[in-house]
Amino acid sequence: MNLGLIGAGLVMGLSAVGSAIGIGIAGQAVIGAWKKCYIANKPAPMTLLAFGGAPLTQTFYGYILGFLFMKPAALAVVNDPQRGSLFLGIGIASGLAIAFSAIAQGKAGAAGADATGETGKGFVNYMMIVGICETVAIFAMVLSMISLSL
Amino acid sequence: MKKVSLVVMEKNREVSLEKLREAGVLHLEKRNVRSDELTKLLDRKAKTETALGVLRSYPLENGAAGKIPLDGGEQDVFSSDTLNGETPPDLVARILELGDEKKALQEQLLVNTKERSRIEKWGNFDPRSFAEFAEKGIVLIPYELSRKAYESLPEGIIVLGQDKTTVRVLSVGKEIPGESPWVLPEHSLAEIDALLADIRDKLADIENRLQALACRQASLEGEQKILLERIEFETARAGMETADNVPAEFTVSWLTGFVPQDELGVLKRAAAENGWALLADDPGEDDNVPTKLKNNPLASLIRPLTDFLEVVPGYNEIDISGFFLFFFVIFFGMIFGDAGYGALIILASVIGILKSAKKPPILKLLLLLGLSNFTWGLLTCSWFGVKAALLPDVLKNISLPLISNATADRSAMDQAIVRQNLMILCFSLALLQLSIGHILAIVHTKSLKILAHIGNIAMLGGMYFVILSLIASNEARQIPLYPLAIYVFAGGFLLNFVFASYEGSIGRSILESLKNIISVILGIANVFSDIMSYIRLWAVGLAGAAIADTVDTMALQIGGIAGPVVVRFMVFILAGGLLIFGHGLNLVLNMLSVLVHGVRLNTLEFSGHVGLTWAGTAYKPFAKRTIRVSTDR
Repeated sequence: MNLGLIGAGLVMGLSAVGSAIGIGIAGQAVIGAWKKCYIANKPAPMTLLAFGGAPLTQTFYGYILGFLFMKPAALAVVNDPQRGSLFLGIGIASGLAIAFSAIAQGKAGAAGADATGETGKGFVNYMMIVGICETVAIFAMVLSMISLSL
Repeated sequence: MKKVSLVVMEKNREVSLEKLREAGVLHLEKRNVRSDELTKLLDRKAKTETALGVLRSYPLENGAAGKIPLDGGEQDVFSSDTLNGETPPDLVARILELGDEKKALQEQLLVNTKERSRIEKWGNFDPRSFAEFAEKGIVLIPYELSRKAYESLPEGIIVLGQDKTTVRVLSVGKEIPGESPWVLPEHSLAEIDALLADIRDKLADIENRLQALACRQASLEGEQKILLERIEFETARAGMETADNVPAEFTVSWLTGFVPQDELGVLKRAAAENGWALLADDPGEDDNVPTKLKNNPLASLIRPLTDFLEVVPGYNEIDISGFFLFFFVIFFGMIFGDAGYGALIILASVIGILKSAKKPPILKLLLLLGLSNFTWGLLTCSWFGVKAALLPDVLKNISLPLISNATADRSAMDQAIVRQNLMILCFSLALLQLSIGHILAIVHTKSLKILAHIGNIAMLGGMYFVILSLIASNEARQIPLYPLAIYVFAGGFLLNFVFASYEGSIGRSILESLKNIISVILGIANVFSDIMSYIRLWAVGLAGAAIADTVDTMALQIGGIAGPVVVRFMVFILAGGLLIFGHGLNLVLNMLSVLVHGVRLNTLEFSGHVGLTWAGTAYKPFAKRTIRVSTDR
């Protein structure tokens, strides 16, 4: 059994799960904000889509990591069985980190969508918070790549 | 900006405000004011916005709107002649009336439809007949029972009908214990059907009327603009203070505001012509001075973006528009990172510029961004995410070997080197931009605090080499940690520690830093994370490339399906559709990433090192903005 390859699958899957949950949370808030605009006969701002779509990128961070795992991972077990468990451990941990970053981004995006829909102001402020949430996923991906010398 | 106080005769208050509005250069100081007139205007504005919202859901059809014949002559009552006339009819009230009627009818429709589906299975009977029977001594009680409940009942029940789950019965004379009777409807099924048909007719009529009035949107928009102006005027009028205990004939009122220095002459002339008293002075520290940005034509290209983001630097803060534009253009290129997408953006903006008469700045900005994107894609040999091996040699040869995908494809070692080069580039951009931030701050600082900024630059430089050695190093090339970098960092930290809170005394400054020792030490982590943050340029570009690669691979796999000509044709269409959809989605995601990351690096990291808080209000002078809009479309 190749633990490294399990790690590769897990990092991809967990990241995508996190993205899905994040998009679900943000998407509901975006729809709610639009609904409030329609009820008040105000135009519904399309910029709210940015909040709803923001957690999507974490899926690709997980994919990039998993894809990179698959190259040395197979060798890792053959040459050094211990590295296989390192790949598994980092795969799970990074996958979870990226997933929770997406969920956090979804929640921040939800609040941003609600605030923008009601006030029409502060878009860039909310986007900065959304960006900070994504930083965790970026760092998780980059630092995992560096720790595993990928 | 100059802070201006203007004094006018109270009896001439409104005329003076009119003249001031014509001059159009004074930005009035914001005040919270209340007046009956203002309340009425704000109320009218809210109603107009609601009416406009109602009309907006009706698409304008050229000519068709005017051709629907109406009862009540909606078109005649609200024709362009009457709306432009002396006493125009109240279009807003009529639209709101129709809107409210529509809502009420829709609710009635819902309620009655629900009721209809409840009583449908009982058929068409007159509910009043139950009372008539009861008067004659026959008590009939209807029940809707589950099958189980029905089977446990004694005899003497009349069964009216049944389906898979329920049985409809009539109990004669007595109630069924343990079951609640079926609630009799108010109207028979036929009556409800007639009512529903009537409601639907009325709704259709209202829809027709509103559709016919849709062409009057322009009139409402014009009214909205005029209202906004009147609200601004009334706010200014109500905001003027008046001298107390002075006879009405002689009393004065005044207001305060701000005017750009080079437009002060206009205001002085207006004051001389109209007999106002004017006092112009430099704004104080506590004044909320509006900011008017003056940029050269290139730097002002960033304006559409900063207007969209609604970020305005404070009056006393540094204007970084030029640098914002420069770095944003680079970030855009790196995040999108594909020459194919760049070419599409260039094409779209060129077509837009050629087609439009006014040549809006947003299109010029887009052209610049597209060129940056194209250039970066060219240098890294990225063309719609196609693998470098499949690209023609000419494209591979014009790319920059240090960062090109063509180089990376040669071997795993080359790939690692290319990746390292890209990371070094990201961190170098970080060092450059953040140092520029401190240099800008140095230019605007007059005291020994300059040394604190020099210290910050030294810290950035030292940390840059630490990060290169820790993060960018890989098995292909190890970047050593130069001891000089540590010394430079330490020296910078000391300078910053001593001079960061300098207000005239070095001793007090050191004491202040000691008091905030925790945040000073956290400052080290901040320097690390600020530089590290720029790695996102590479990471997000990588994500975009991964999406493009995936789309291409999927399209190739679908396109490779063999079969007869019909199948090949369908497969070709499918693959083409997938390519368009996939790359389209990638473009949208990249746009989102640019908004989140490209803007963030400028407004958070860069602005933080410049010391900018974007706490400004835009200069918006009290001026005439509208002309009477024609009601015809």
